[in-house]
Amino acid sequence: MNGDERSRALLHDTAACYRFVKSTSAACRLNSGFPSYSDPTRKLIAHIRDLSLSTQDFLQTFPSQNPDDPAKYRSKREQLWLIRAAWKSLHFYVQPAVDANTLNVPTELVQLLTQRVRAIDNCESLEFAVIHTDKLNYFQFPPGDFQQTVIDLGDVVSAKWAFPPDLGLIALPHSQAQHLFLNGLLAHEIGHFVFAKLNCFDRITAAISEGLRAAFAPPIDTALNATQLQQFPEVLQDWAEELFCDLFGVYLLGPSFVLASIELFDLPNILAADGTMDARAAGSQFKFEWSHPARLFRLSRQTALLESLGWWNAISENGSHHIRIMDLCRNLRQGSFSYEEVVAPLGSKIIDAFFRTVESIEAEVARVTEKLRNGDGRAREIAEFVELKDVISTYLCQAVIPSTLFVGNEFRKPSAIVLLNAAHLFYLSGIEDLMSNSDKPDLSDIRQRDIWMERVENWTTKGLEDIALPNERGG
Amino acid sequence: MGVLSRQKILGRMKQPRPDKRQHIVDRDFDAGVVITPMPLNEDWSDDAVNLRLGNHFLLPQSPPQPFIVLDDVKLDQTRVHVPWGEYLVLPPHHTVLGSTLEFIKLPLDLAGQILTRSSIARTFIIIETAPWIHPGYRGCLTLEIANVSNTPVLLHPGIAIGQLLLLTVDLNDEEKQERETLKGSYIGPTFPEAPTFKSLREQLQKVGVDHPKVPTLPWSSDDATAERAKATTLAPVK
Repeated sequence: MNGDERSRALLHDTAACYRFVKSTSAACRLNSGFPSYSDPTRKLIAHIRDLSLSTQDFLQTFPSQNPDDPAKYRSKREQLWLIRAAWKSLHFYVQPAVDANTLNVPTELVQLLTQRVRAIDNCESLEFAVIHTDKLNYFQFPPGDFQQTVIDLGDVVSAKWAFPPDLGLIALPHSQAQHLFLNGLLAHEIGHFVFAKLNCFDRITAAISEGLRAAFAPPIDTALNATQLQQFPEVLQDWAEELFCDLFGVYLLGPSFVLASIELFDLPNILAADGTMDARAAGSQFKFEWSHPARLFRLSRQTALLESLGWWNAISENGSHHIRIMDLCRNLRQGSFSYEEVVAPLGSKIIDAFFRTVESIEAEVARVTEKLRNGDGRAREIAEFVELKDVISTYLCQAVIPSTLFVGNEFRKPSAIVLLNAAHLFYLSGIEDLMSNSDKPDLSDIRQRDIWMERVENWTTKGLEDIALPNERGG
Repeated sequence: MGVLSRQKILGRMKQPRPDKRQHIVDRDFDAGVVITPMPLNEDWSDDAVNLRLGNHFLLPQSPPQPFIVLDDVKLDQTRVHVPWGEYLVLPPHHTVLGSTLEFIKLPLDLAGQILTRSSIARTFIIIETAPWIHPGYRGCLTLEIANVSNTPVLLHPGIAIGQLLLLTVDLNDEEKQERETLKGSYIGPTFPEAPTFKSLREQLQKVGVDHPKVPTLPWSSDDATAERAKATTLAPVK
């Protein structure tokens, strides 16, 4: 191509790129109307919009330096390629962020979680933009993925704005916004952000190495090939982070997090007719996978933590079958678990290595969340929970939002954690009592149950919203 | 029937004493009033308490036909959430369903009435056209908000928009017993809910009409409307 041809081709492709960026970011043109967004989500959307404007400004002047020199032309082409590649990545985030307006995310719960996280040292300014995903799963976007794309693009187009380093991105299944209790699992995803932010891995990496050394003592270690030597620590790192985040969720929300895990993992199906564990149904739940520890292992560690925090004694008498499942998992032994993605006996050795690491992981998450506990190591809310859980149940059973309780001759506003946990337990074990108070109850009618379960979640959500108000006592 | 004073309302709010051992119908609890979140001190007057505007709204949508049939069909309404500090613009001569921030629970011997606060009314905003609250009601109150002025009005959640008055109702024990269960179409709503109607046909059968007339439109593709039209033309009206 001669210079003119190169110039025309570049002009055309720059305009095409401009159009691509403009259309990709079109949904991010915020206005003061609807839908509405939480501050973190608004920041995210505004950042993408501003990046789009910077990109378009850059492209507007991009071809003016006529690329007579073939080397300059090549450089321009590379820049165009980088811009397109970055916007292809950003495209993934745009619609899920725009869809996640305050009507379609559990705003009150996210605010509660954020408030809890901010009590942790060096996490005082963390905030979380919850965006949608079409997967039926909760996950956190590793900070590096989005931020690196933004930084790389910002360098090319000379963007003036830096992406806020304390803004975490978390994905929520788009259909589940109204399911308050299940959304407690967001606490696990927040754990991933905190794990990276506080460099927690650095504190447990030595324990992982030590665990591997001890488990793979000679002569087995000599049999490991180079791939396995690299792969096994990575597997343990993933398991360690998952366990960290599970326990982090328990520290943040208490039993409600564990109950949500049981639902997401579909663990009620492990119950046999007589209330014991059905070995066949539970079989796969004992298996570790390459990315996650076994579900029953995770549940056993979560339950053990509830015991040490003082929660277990406060909830164990609840009649829900979810509590029974937790009880069944309390004393599972290492030998119950398997890892079958490597040949025997390596699987049991990896699990052995991991079990040797568990104590260090638990110590690390305990260190991080120290400010969420009393000096005696118990959760701060236990005493209040014990005092108010039945009162909250009674209010819910009477179809009343339990955000202002009259107890001991005074009006009380329960703490959000106490309300959430008491309501979650009521949701699991008190729906029939609530239905019995209604007109023409049919306990076997699934539609009726659905209506009342939804009501309890709505009342709890509204209760959390009420509690968050900076209210003063009336009267 | 007397209007309860502030002290009497507060006295009734202190009445519920939940029994830890018993979930099902606690009579002490039934006798109590609940207003939550607790109104602020300045929201009380001698005989009423202010209620604030909540965050959720239902925006009416223009139906595909130029009328609304009060039948058991669901009306199209768009729900919106307005966060604290934001506002909803209510254009002149427009309506929207909102709800109170406060959740109310009334005992069986008290009814309530919600009135537009006088200062709000003077901007020609009407918040209630069905202001009566039956004994035993529980839920946030749905507000039928209408801007009858010629100027757009900004509705900020959290503003004191209405006043709640409580009045005694003389129910005998038998009547109270009948009302002890949670009854009604709207139990415990926390945001405005679209209206529900019984079947138009069922309603009118009570006055001897089997086939109520509904206008048909040449462009309508609605099967139900077509069916009604068919019934209207073929069936005799008693």
